[in-house]
Amino acid sequence: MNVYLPIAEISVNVFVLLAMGGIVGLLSGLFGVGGGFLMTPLLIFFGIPPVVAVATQANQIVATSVSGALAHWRRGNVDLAMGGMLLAGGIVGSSGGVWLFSYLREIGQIDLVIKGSFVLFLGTIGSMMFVESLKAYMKRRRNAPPVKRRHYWIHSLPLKMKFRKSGIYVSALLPVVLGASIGFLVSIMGIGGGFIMVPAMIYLLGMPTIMVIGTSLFQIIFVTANVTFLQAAANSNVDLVLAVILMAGGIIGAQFGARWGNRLNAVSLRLLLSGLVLLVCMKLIYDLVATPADLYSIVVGG
Amino acid sequence: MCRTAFALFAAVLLLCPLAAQSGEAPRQAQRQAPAPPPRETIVVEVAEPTINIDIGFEGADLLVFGLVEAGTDAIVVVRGETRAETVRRKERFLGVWTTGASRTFLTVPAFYALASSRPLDHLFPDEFMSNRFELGADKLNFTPYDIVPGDPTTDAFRDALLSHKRDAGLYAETSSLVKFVSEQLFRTTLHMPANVPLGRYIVRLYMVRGDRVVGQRETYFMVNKVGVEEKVYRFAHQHGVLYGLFSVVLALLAGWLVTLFFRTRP
Repeated sequence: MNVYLPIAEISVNVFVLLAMGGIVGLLSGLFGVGGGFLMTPLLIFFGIPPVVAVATQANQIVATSVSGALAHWRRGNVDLAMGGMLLAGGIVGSSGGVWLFSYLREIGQIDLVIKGSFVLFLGTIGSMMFVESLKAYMKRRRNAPPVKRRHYWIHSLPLKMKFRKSGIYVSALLPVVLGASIGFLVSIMGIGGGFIMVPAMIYLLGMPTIMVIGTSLFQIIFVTANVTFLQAAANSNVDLVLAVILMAGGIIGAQFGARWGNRLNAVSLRLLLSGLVLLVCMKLIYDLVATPADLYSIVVGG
Repeated sequence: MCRTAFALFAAVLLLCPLAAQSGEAPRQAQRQAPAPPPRETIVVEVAEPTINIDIGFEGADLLVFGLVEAGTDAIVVVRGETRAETVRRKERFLGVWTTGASRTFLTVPAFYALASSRPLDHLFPDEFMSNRFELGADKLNFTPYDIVPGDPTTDAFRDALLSHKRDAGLYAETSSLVKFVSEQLFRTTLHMPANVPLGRYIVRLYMVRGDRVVGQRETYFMVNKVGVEEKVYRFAHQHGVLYGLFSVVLALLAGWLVTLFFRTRP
């Protein structure tokens, strides 16, 4: 059954989209990640214009992060003070990002910037994760001692603040800058940013792992909501029909993913995910470098 | 909608013999009113005055019919709204394909379809008429913006625009597809693909005798979006702020409902 997507302005098979939403939802349930960094490239491969894919994906992440954050909230795993600091930065960063997005769209380079950013981030994160999980896989039998926490320059920054819930004492600048830079990426790439935010909160801020996911999801809700709103207002590129189909598929997939995830080994899961990330990255590189079948593109208007 | 199409078509079929008799009828007609001059026998009509694009739209066939003088040929041209379009060329930059040079054309019809009773090159061996009346997509005058005509680079952009439109099914020429039902009555079906642009369409009939266009008639029809999809499109483009708020609230609600639903399970 074909559905015409009003903003993407293409006709697509609704079951293929549902399946895509379902598979990415399944993966996000399995791996505990948002899935935006896989969904946006997949939508682009599927023929959705990159500007619509990015904005619509931000809208879908609002829904998935709300349900995730609520679950963590009930268990008391959200650090509101830390979330608020991240969010303050996130709103500034994401608003700036949408502004840059509109500008790049006007000069006709937005598609390249979106794809380039994905190559950069998927490539970096994918290889880091791959190496790290490979090491962990090897070490499992050797029972290596855990790495001790070290003291970096970032721990001597001014404006130190106590985050009681997380039990840490760090500069407030840290979460604000972190939130801003990831907020910027949210608006350009249509991702939640969890896959960068979570390791940054663990290694950079030294937050306890149990607080990290809930707090990250909490701020993602508001940052992606801000991006959705600004994209819709400035660029009219949020496709509600597409968003609803992806939400439906994603919700179902995530429920199955969460159940299966408990039965699988965490280290091999990470290895699997990093392989997947690198695969998507390579396809994007190929598309950017290979000579396109058609060198010309048409836009309506002067 | 099909029924109205055939009713209209049937009406013209009935009118046809009357028109054919008009050569013998003037004496009768002279008593009441002066006879219409014979060159008035040129009529064009579309079966449906509007084409509605709904959420499952997969294209439509447009039935065009009308009358021309006996012994003439008919060319039917359907044109979408004229607008400016920009063609961008990708160029390699540090090994990566980026958006490079572009050309803007000012008078690009959003849609162009042509059907004729005989191939165009049979009708107009010397192309003078086809150039003058823009008969055939490659005869369209795109009016480049800010560029010297005849510039070879511009021609490459122009060709790219044409082939894009043809590949998308938005520009099409089909020869010998205008069928004569009788000596004067013709009909033809033009395909409008699923991606057909919105707006007001002109249907122009050219009556051809020898290698000259001897008469023209026009009619119009509309292509509209209807249904949910149209509302979403209009909402998004006319009330961006509200649309943004609505999208956010919808997503928040969806996420919240999911937790409610799945929490009740063990």
